[in-house]
Amino acid sequence: MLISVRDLKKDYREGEVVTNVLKGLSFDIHKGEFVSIMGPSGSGKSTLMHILSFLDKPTSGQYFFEDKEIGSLTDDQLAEMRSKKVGFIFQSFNLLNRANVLENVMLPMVYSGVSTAERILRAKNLLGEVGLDHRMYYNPANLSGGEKQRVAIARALVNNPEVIFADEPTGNLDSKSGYQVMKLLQELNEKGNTIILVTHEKYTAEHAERIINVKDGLIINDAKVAERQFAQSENQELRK
Amino acid sequence: MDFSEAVKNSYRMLISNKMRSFLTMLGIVIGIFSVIVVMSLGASAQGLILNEVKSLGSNLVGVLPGKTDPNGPPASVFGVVITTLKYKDGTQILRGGNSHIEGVSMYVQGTDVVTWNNNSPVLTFMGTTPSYINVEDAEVANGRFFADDENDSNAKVVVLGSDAATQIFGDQDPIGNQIKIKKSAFTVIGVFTKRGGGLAQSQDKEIFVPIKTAQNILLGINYINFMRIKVDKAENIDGVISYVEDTLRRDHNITNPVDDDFTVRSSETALDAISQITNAVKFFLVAVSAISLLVGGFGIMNIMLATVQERTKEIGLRKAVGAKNSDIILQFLIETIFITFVAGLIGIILGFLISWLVAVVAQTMGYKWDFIVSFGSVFLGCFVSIGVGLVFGIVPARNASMLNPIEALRYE
Repeated sequence: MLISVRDLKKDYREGEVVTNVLKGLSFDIHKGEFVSIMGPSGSGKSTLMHILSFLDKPTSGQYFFEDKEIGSLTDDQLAEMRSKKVGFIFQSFNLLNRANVLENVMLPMVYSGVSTAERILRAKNLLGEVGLDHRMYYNPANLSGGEKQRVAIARALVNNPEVIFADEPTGNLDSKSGYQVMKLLQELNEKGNTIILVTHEKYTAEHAERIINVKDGLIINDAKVAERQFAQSENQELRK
Repeated sequence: MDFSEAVKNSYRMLISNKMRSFLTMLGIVIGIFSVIVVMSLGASAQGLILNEVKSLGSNLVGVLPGKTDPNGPPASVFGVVITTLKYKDGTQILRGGNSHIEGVSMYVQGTDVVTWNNNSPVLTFMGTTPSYINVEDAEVANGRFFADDENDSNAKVVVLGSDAATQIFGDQDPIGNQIKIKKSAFTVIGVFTKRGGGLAQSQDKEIFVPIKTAQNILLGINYINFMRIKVDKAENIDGVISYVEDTLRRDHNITNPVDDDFTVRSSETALDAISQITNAVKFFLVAVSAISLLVGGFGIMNIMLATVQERTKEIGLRKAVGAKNSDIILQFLIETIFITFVAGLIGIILGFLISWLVAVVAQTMGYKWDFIVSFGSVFLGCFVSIGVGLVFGIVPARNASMLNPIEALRYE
């Protein structure tokens, strides 16, 4: 089992007020799955993603990643898990404008102890795979939204992570670019990558094999997608 | 996080906002620059002064009338006339036959109008013993110095310093001419070789008569102003000082050194006193210029705090892709140190240039001014600029590392 969550809870305390964001979630995710965590804003889906991706710690409950309990890890150990086990794709891309495209893709390897020569090799290969080898020395500020997100996907892949977390990856994109990004994610999944997609849109979520539907800090539904969406043709546009 | 990556980042930061980087660095540049210049010019000026003092002769022991603080100035500086030192004191010291004493010269001095033809400059005249030429390593270029019999007979003869000779006689040969000092006619028997240089050049501007002539005819006094004793070797100076003190105490009937009515000091103690004073001035100036380093440091801290704020999102991203807190601290510390170090290097180079320029100007003005930038001051400059970065970078770096990655990623 890649991810196993049991009775996961998360409280936020602000002064006297305690907010229960996650109220006891349990589920498993297997290696190679493509799962959407879907829910409206305020449902707790982002908090759940932050815990699953080692950016945050649960208040109670258990989280096993590759059968290892995560709750007891130190900050540095969590950083190490982020470095080696997960890749991030953000809604707002989060590329560094002071560095060129190639250097942005290389960034995660700075912290995972990969040699400089290997960094360049891997980053160039991945930029080729996302179709951006001709933009290698561009400044990210000069790229289109779709190109930026493809750079981010390449960056998410450089450390060969176990899971890729995509947080509203199409949220800032026009429908054509959004479609390209979803197509890339589906291709990556076909190659065996585990992908966890966080979104509030049902249509986007349906590109996954399974949807965990979260509302008010609880799972209201966890099921296979009956009619899965496939981003197949260049001309197909992502419906909003 | 590796070092070269951090340095590359720092460089990129520096050039990405040139105006801000320049202003940020300015405080440190000025601070390091002024420390280097002050240290360099201080060392050069100190060297100049000490060399001047040494050129007066380092194997000399001076005897002054009255008791003075061993390291302080003589009482005569304050305009006090003390009459306790006499001509016979000098002869007594010589008579004692201390084998390390090579000569004793005695001095009185005054200032008056010196007349030749229609020319009448005001000059300082020095009454001294014939031993002057030996004790002071003086050299007569033209003519001769006066002898013992001329001193004993109050002979009205005069030897001129080279500048004084020109002042009185212009281009003419002074030897054999008569000049008037206080209505008495003196025959010029010699002219000194020009000494040149700083403190020793006073000889060039003065005129010299036998000391007894000066006491009896020109000044009407029975005391002397000071005495100089030439010692054969530096290591015998202390022995000679005790010998002179013992002799004078015996002749002056002094039993307790507290009651001394004279002061004996070597030029070494004078050198020490000068070194102490110049060192104090130097360190004071360095301390003042170090204040600008402090101000510059706070300026950098301010900018780095703003930078951390601006780059919150970047910090969040770096943490998300695996940066540990220590990686973030290291990155921002290295960035701060990079800025201060580059600023320090610029300051050192500017300091070098200005010190060199000053040396060139001073040399063309005729001073024996050496260009001194010690390895120590360069090392200190580097070390201090790195230190400033470290001290003032730690708070911003820590702030950066404490950012919560989730909030940092959301930050707009």
